[in-house]
Amino acid sequence: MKKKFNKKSLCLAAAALALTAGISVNSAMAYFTTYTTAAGDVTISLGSTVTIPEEKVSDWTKHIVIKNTGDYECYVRVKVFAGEKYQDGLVYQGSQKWSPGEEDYYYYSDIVPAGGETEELQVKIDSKDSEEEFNIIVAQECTPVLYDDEGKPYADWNAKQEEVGE
Amino acid sequence: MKKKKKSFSVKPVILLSAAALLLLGSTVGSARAALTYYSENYSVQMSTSNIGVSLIENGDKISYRDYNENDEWNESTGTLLSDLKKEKLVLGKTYDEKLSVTNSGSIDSYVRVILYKSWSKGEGENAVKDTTLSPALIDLNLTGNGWTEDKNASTKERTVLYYNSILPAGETTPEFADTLRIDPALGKKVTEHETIDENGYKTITTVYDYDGYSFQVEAEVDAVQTHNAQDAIKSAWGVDVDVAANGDISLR
Repeated sequence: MKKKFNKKSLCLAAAALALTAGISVNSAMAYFTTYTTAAGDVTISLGSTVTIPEEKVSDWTKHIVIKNTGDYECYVRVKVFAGEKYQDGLVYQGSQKWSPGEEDYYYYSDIVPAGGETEELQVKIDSKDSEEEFNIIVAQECTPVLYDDEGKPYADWNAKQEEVGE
Repeated sequence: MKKKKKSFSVKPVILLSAAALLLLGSTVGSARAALTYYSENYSVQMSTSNIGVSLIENGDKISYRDYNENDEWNESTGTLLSDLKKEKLVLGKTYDEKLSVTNSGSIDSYVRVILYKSWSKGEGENAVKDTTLSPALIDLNLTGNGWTEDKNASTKERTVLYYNSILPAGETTPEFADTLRIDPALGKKVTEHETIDENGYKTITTVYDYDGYSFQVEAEVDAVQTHNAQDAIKSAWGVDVDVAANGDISLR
């Protein structure tokens, strides 16, 4: 008899315990919460652009056009070297967008878009009646377009690419 | 036989009633708790109390998780920064990245946002996290308008923001971030390569060390009920807050 009592009451106690346990779990989970997430990524492509100078000489004048053959917009500048004797005799003409600036370079005021080209810069050469052969060297540089805090574009000529041709 | 029956009915009955009492006690407890949460809505209409939250980017609902009438979660996870992928990202340029949170449920809630910023080398599956590059270069401008940063929980990669007030059902918070800009310093790290072609042309090319790197921004929005705010927030978010009379919360 004692054995029987134990068995039944144990069953009942276990059932009661399970039920109460179940209920207390429920009430512990009663706070309403939710969440949502979102993520995204962007790849930075900082490729270098390539510019090619096109130079034609006619009537003692160099016609210089810089072509941006790369994938990124850029600023360009040009410097023309002649021998010491001839340097003073160089006369710059052509598009108003070219203007002299720092470090004796001529700067193109507009951004040259990828695939685009500059307007023409003409450099008139004075031979000064020289019989000697001499070279006029055009050095052109391009630099990627950078943006300041206000999103205004500017050029940083300390981060540059160079191409030197003659 | 008769005696046996009697002994069976006494002790189990006591046990049963004890169990019933216990059950009753616990049900009353949780019914009380439930009443605290439900009472206002129940008295007006039969609609249940559904919590929901949505993340808004530049006016578009990106992700949401709302409890609906059928006791199911309505949810969707979207992608951030998709506008920036339309054009080539330019260093230093300021892009719109207006982020806010909408309470898309039917009950008021408190919300917080956890932002993660990181760098990876490569794209997609080949991307490898680069922890040497500072997440500070990803300049997601925080407005601070109505939001408080938990400096103790924030790291370089993670920013935890709490919305100071109760966000009523259907309402949207002020933006917690408004612009995104990648520090141009990233473009300063270059390596120069010099090549001379057959015509004697010398080309010096600068190669950007961080070309092909990608940055990630992840936002997690959490919402919790406003009733029993202190306990609910502690239970859900593990932080201690003080709740002002007007419902505004402040970190302890």
